[in-house]
Amino acid sequence: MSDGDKRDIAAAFIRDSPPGEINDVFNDVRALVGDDALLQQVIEPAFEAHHHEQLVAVAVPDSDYQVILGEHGRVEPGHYIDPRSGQLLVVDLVHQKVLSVQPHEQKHPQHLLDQRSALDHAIQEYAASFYPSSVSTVWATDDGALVAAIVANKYNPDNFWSGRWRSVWRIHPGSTELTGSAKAQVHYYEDGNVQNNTSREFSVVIEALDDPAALAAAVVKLIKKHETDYQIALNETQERLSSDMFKSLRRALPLTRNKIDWPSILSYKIGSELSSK
Amino acid sequence: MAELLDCALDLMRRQPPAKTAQNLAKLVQLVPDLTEDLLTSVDQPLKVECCAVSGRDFLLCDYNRDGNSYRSPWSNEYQPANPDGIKPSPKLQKLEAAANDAFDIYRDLYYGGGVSSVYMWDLDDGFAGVVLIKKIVDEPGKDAGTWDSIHVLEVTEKGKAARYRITSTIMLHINSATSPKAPSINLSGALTRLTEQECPVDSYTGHIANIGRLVEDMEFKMRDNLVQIYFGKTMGIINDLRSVKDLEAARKADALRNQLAGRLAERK
Repeated sequence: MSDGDKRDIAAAFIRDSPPGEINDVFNDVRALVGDDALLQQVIEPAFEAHHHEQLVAVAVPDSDYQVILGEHGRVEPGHYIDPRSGQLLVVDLVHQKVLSVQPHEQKHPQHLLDQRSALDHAIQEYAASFYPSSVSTVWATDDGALVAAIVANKYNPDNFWSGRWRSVWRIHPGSTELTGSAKAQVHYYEDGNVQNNTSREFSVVIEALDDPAALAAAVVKLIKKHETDYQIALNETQERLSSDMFKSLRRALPLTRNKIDWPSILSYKIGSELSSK
Repeated sequence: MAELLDCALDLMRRQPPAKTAQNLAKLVQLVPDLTEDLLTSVDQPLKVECCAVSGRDFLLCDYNRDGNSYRSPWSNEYQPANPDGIKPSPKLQKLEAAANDAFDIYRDLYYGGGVSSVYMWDLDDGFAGVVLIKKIVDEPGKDAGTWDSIHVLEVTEKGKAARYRITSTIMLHINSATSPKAPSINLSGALTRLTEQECPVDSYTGHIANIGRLVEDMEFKMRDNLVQIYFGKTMGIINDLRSVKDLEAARKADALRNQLAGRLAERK
């Protein structure tokens, strides 16, 4: 097997790590590959891809908040903008922590930064109302859009489960389209491995607004409505699957409502041929 | 090597169950020395093949494989032909045929469709076997599901009784019907349970009734478990991550209620 194939396999395993379990996965992969020099070549891109996709967050030193390591915040490998403070975070991707904080020059127009700041506050307020514990980050992008991400995690390795909710929303201020996605993933692994992956993509019509406060309020109102509708639909769909799908796959009991009388099945169908030998 | 196998199994327990077959193939490429161990300890979704002799479907697994051929439980022949393929002793083969007929009835009563196969092989002080059942629900535009039951049995005969050790794995994959407005839900995974019991055996066919009862009880319990974990447990966690109701508004309403209650109490 070529080194390239080994790298691809290792990277794919790392990227697919369930919520909060990337270090466990990495330790397994490291032992199985058995070649740290080779693995070193994939660590950075694999962890980066995982963190961007999964909205992994890091604590900002000397502050009371965390920043999501999203693709829109990445300046160069391992360097992420903290859009709230405007500083640059130098991040250890493997240990998911900030190594140092550096000054950074914001290139975006002031008006876009004002819109970002207003949306950031509105999203934080919204998240506090609907997520018991979450991190949110709002970025201004190079093409003049605002991207808001919310992530909520619950890790419980002692009871063999973990879960993550991720939302990402995007708008060009002044446009009439708000797009986004909401995803939830749960991993349950006591005497097994069960994963629940749910998602929904959104494309919503919104009033064209430029004023930072008005824009932020309108965006968050729509996010609240669509995320809540999604969660309600999710509960209803799971309800339907748990009753109808289970019945179609396997009944709890035969139609007679009694467990099988095995000796009579045997005597009826096959007992005779077996004992007649 | 044992340590590496533990790592491989831990990794498989954390990777997406929907990718089990392809991830197993990757692991085997990565660590070829683990091939045999991994193939026997990681359960994969069962494949179906049609028996050329009887025209009936049967299930493929590592236990009815010899080389690249699989033995049909309906004809006792390997497909493609494998003249040297291992077969159970004539006595055990009769029991296997009877077990296949019995579990075919069981499958029909509980699953109302699907495919079942039972395979057995001789051991020094008894025999071993595996009971397999697969059911697929797949209609265009509707929710889809696949159920795979794998019960591996080890039977130790002790005169008028026998000890049964059964490792049961149920793999279950469910996908909600896709539509742009509805959430897409993918539930997939496997649970494994172990049971061990000593039962009296009045005749050789008595083994089938004992195995049947143990498998039936285990599937009854595991089905309940699956409903609880796939839906109750995972949805409970999702609803803890995000709340349908406004938590801040609820906190304020609580505070206001407490405040009012306090004032009323003061007045008395």
